[in-house]
Amino acid sequence: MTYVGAEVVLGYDWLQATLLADSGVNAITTDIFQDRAPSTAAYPFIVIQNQLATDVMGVGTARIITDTSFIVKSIAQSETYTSLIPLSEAIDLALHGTTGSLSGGSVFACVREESFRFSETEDGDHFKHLGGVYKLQLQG
Amino acid sequence: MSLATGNLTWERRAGNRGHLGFGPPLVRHIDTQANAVAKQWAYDGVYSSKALAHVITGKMKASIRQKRLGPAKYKTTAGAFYSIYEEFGTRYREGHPFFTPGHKKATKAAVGRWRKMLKTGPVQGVKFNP
Repeated sequence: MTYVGAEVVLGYDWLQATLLADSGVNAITTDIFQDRAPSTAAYPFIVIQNQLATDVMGVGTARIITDTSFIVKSIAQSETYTSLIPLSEAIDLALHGTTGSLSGGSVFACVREESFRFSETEDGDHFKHLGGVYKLQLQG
Repeated sequence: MSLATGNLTWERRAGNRGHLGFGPPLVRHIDTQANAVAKQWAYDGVYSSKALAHVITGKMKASIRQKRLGPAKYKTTAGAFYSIYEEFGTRYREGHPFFTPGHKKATKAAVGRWRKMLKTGPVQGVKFNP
């Protein structure tokens, strides 16, 4: 399988595989989901979401890389962000400044561009999201 | 971009004459051009965001607007209270990013316009030493 024409999927798959292979992340959770979590997921868990995907073109139709941004966030049911700090730190240690590949595609760079935090409330319960926006340069 | 409320806002200001030691006509020229660039930047951000907005009722798309705050300073807002959930998703619902990609696209175009303005400004009849 190659990721030509589906570089965003390469980003999702690589982030998920990298986080699953990291012992620091694994010590806290192995629940890592793409786009959204199932309603049965136990807290804390990680959700990966694509924000941007722009092709970097060369001369003519030559596609050099795909520049993408992914939000990688840890989510917990909590009134504060404190409980999410260890998982957020483990995510950053696993991803920031790393490179890698999957069969069919390569990740040339992965760096955090911004930190990310978000809060939601439902029926009086508070849910916190904490993580970062990671820029990935991909080639399928 | 402010995440403090459900609204999404993006403020932009093009140019900063305080950092340029040119005479008044060039400053005026830069001010005029900076305002034009910032205005177009805001319009492009709104247009691109609207093009990407996920439409069910159209309320959120209609709420994406720009507002002039001052010289060369504009703000774009997605005013629907659920815009932020649409942009970033919730724990069980995937996001449909529209505001960030729309504004990144507009920013790229605005940087190009600003560069062009800085290059061509003085040749459009503005004197350095009036």
